[in-house]
Amino acid sequence: MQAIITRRILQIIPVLIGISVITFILIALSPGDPAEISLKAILDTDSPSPEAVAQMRTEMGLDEPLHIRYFLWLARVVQGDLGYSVLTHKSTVHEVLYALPTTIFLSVLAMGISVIVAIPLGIAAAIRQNGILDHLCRLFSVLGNSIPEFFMAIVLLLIFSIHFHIFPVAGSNGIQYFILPAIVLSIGLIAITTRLMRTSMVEVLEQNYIQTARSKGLPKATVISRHAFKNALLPVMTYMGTQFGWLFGGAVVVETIFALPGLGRLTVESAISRDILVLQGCLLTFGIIFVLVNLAVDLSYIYLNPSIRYEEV
Amino acid sequence: MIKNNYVILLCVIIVAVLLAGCTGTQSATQAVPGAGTLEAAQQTTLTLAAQWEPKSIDPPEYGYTGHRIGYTESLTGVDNEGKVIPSLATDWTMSPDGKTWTFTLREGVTFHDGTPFTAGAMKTSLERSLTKSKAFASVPIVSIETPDDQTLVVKLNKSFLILPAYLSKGEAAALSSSSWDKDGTIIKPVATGPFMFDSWKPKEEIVAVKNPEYWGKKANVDKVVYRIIPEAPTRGMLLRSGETQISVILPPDIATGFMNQPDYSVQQQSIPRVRMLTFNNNKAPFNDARVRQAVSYAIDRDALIMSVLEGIGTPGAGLFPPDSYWANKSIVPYPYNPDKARQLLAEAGWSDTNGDGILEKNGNPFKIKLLTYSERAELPPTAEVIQQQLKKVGIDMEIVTMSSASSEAIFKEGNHDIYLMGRGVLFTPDPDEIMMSDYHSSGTAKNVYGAFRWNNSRVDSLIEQARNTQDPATRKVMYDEVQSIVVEEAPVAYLNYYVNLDVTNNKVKGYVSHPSEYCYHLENVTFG
Repeated sequence: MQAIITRRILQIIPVLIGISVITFILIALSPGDPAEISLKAILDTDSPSPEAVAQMRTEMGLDEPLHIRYFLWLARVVQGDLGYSVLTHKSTVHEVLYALPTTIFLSVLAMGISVIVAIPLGIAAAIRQNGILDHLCRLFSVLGNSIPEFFMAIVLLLIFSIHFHIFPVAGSNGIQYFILPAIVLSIGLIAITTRLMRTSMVEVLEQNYIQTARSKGLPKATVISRHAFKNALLPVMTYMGTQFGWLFGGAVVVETIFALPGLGRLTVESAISRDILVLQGCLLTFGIIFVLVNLAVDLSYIYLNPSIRYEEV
Repeated sequence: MIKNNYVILLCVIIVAVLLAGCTGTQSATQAVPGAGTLEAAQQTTLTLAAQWEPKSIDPPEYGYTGHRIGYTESLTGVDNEGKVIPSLATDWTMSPDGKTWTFTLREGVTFHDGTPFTAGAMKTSLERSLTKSKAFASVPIVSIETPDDQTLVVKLNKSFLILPAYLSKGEAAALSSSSWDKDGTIIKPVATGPFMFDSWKPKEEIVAVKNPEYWGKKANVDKVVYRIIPEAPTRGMLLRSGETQISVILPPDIATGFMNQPDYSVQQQSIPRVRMLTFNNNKAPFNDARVRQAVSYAIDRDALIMSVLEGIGTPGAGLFPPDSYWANKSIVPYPYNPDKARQLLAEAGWSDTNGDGILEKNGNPFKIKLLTYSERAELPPTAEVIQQQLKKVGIDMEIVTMSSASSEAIFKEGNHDIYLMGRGVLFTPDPDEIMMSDYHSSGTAKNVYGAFRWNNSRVDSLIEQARNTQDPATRKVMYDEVQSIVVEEAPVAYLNYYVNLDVTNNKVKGYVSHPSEYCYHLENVTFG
């Protein structure tokens, strides 16, 4: 088991290198001199002298060939130096860390809502196949998956904020500000997870060991909660784990509509205003989080699935 | 039995989730700024939503924010007609050579930290702005002198008529030296306005409170919250939920939803940005003024506004919108007159000889290319309506839509007949800049906007004269004549002006949109 975990952790290294190469190429190909941008921030001026820029270029190794520049850049990144924002003159790390908690909170909340709603719904639909609930779930899945987020956001705002005055429209002054955005973000995920949970549960319920458990007289509730649930959950968990990164992506739209100061909005804004170093920081962060979440899912999978756990022993 | 248990369990879970949502709710409604009655009884908070996000609170870097909210002021201001007016300076004079400007400062003004506003403080603040802001890159300031506490003398190395206009900018705001630390980094803007800066949450809001010691009209509301809301639909929703009382710059489709509603008012304000056609005045067919005039007569400007802008807009007459100080008010928009257009085209030698509906001259059909860009969403549909209108007088126009960057590249080469664009006309609140770059022959020869490759010696000499005249009224007479000549000669065709739509809750009184959003003047606003 130790070996598997080590192997899984080692496997992310090439992925991380790949992410770093792509983000590095992003700035290498974009207009704008990172040395000049950094100097503007450090000296707090809009027109650093050409001599200073030239010296900074040498210090940052910007006149070296591309592959050398990559390693110099990587060394700075590892030390937490991702350069400065052209707009705010603050460091990229500062900008990203300012935005990150909002997005993490939003995504975790959306994930929480998805789990709470989708898993019971999926199970219920599986238990009563082709019942009313099952049909409603199917309808909801189709709708939830096909309605775009910005539209969903506006409809929910009209209902819950304008008509019933339950939630505030926009801002981030407390948890109540996050609930609507999290619901919007979770709907797509709920739609698919419910279907997946249902399918997975139906499959498990047809297995022989379930039949055996039932025929030895165990109540259905016990069979489902003790025998079927854990096994049916595995593929669903994997799916939801990989979707965590997708939630981060969805945050781009949702954060803009609900005016939340998160990483999604930072990404869009830095892309629009060509704030390349911040954009690079955002992409790097997205990439790393995606990889880490997937790693966590893999590891929990090993823990949950005995057949993998004992494979190597 | 067991199955039922599961359904009940499920119901319990769903109800629990909904209840959890509702508990968050009650605190939510109370937390809405300005909505709680308890809060309103103690102090009034006015909340305004705008899309503009300052990346810094340091006025030399993001000057407009402080002016709009009302915590900063400069030596000069800009009124709602776009004219430069006194603010912290009560009066100013220019030396005959135009190189020395003397500003008389207002007496009895104090900064928000209680220190007096003096010429010395203004000099320190202005010098910091000059080094920190790129807004003054083209201003030839050599030195700033302070002969006494109320007099500020600015010396230039060449005549620069529009110095007072430049000094109205937020980047030139008067700041107390307690605004920054020993490295010159901003702590918070300590200025002179009717509101005092209180706090800033990046990407979210800026809060300012009433300045009880203000030199002018004191504010009615106790607190102002400026919320940064990038999405227009969200700004509309915030009004409806009562979270903001003013939402600025809503697109027509959202603003029209607030029209004729008892609780809201919509303000429509033409801004100094005009949608226009610029002809390629350098080559046939548009090197002939009659053909250009014919196009202007063939365009139904009201129909354009109705069909493309949802009825919200003012037909284009001259360069400046009609409520601007600098507009020549005697100019009326070209009337829609297709017969006159056909007649002018016939005079220029264009006639439909083969009966296909398209005019010909010397056997060549009247086929032209209109170039435009897609970033401003209303331009391509505008082009399509113009295409239909020109077809009626026998002009076959092809539309080429690209990104603004690539359209500009083609435009620079002169490989077009007409360019359709939106052009800001008062980036500084003075006509000199746009006149020089877009209508003076030195500008039209190299600049790609405005009267492309057009020149007129009378226009040139008027613009030059106006540069060397100080009295605004005299200058206006000169600029009026320039505008008349441009409309008459038609090197460009003005279609309509951009309009800002601001919506206010009717509990708010006294808010007036400013054409360049120079200042929201929230000190004049009452609420509740």
